[in-house]
Amino acid sequence: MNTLCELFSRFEAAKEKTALMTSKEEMTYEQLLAKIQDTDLLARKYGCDGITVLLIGDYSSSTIACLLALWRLGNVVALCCATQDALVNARAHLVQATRVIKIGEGNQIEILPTGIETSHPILSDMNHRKEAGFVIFSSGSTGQPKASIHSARAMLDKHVLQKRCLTSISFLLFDHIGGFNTLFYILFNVGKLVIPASRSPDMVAQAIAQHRVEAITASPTFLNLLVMSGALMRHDFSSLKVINYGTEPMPESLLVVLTQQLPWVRFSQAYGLSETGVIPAKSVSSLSTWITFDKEQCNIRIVDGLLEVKVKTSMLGYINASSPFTSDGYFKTGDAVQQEGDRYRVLGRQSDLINVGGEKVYPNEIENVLRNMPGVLEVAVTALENPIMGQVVGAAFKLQTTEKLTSFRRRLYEFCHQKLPAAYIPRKILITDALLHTARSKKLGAIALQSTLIKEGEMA
Amino acid sequence: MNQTISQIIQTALDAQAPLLSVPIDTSEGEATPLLGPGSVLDSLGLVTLILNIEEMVEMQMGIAITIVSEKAMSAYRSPFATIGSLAEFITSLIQKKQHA
Repeated sequence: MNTLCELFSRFEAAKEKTALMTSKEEMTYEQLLAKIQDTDLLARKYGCDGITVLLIGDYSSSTIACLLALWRLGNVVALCCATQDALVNARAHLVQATRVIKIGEGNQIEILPTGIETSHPILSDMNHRKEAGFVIFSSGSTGQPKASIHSARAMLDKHVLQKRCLTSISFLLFDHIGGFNTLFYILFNVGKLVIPASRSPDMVAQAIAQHRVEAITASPTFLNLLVMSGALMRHDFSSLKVINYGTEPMPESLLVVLTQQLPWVRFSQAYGLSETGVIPAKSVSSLSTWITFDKEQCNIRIVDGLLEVKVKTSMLGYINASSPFTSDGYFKTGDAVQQEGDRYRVLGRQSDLINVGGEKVYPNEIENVLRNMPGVLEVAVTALENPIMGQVVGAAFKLQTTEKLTSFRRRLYEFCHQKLPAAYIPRKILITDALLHTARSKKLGAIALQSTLIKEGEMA
Repeated sequence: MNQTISQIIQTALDAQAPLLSVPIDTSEGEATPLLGPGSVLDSLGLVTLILNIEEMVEMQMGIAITIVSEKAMSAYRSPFATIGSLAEFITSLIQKKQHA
């Protein structure tokens, strides 16, 4: 693991610098190195040496030290931020982890044997060769998440090239591929990782102002919450230089508002999946939702309108599903894209496509329009099965003030009339106070939204 | 009950007025055509009308009905022909629900 040695030598060279800043602790790179050493000894004592481990924790000095120590010892580390016992137990079985390591709120490390044996061929092989790796769970909206196994080497190698050293907040979670990518960007460039006390818009905004944060990686849904909650106006964002966004399509209307309110900030779209890692790409401009891929580092092609990628950071395989790769090594992303020369625009998941009597539309295209309707705070659109049209558009709205459904519907139809083709206009409407995003600040998945529209719609 | 249902249909028709290029002329009352010759509703308009009616019946009467079914689609005399025929059909659905 030469790249890991390189990482540690960068820590050594920058030992006075602050690595982590939380509401509770501040840690230099020297202290982080010492913590890695302590954790290394503890992990050896508990036999974490060429095994598969489930690591439970969010961003903290202990979680980061633990991950790096475990990699140095040649372990495969499955990442999980959820702490509920039933979920931890299910995930430990899913990844066949022989140890579960829990990082407590006070940063204490607890290593527990599970009695589970690792028999999956990829995992056993990696464990046998003491190859460091990680497992990411995809955020499937229903059923069991898919667990993708990655080699640590590809992720580490990707970040070796020195870039700008920035003070950053990773809004995306530790167990999210985007969050994980941001963490290694910061560590390899010996930047400062600021960990807000919570992920609420005000707490994050406060942390940005207090620690003069220069970069943040977040989901469009969270950025929307920043705008809607007024946090963007209440706090000082003058230190910010770049906002990276990803995990879901960016509404163009939101990008316009953000670039108007933060004109000094560069906005850049990140694209990636749990299975592929973050794919080297950048936005054409701050105001554009088009991206260009770095074709020296990845191969891109479009088959039947869907994006396929071949990249070094791709997973080795799933634990609980068959290989999704084509015979020539491309990963089928399932994302529909538009192409213009070397520019691409991600339209959305093919599975989210709404087909109204043959007219096809992505929820994002409709949401972009509906979000501009006066009084609308949040909107989420999905397909609803319909015996006449096959599917129709359903939309759930969160409004600024209370409004009767009848008058809102009329207002909505007046608003939509000249702006959307008839097939794109929501035919089933729900006004709700419920959250239209998940705890991870991502828009509700289609299935959760459909069930909200069907169940709550009956009581509207 | 027919009167209430006709009123619901009328309200549901009014709701989608902003989407129609030509307003629906309901001066013929129950004989107002909904589908077919003389009607301005297209298939999406009909879908919207049905969804709105189902919603209002549930809200005002506390009864959940599904208007479009195989029976409705294959009936010799389409229940969607006029306001009157639709009101009659919905009334029968509600009565069935009440006696179930």
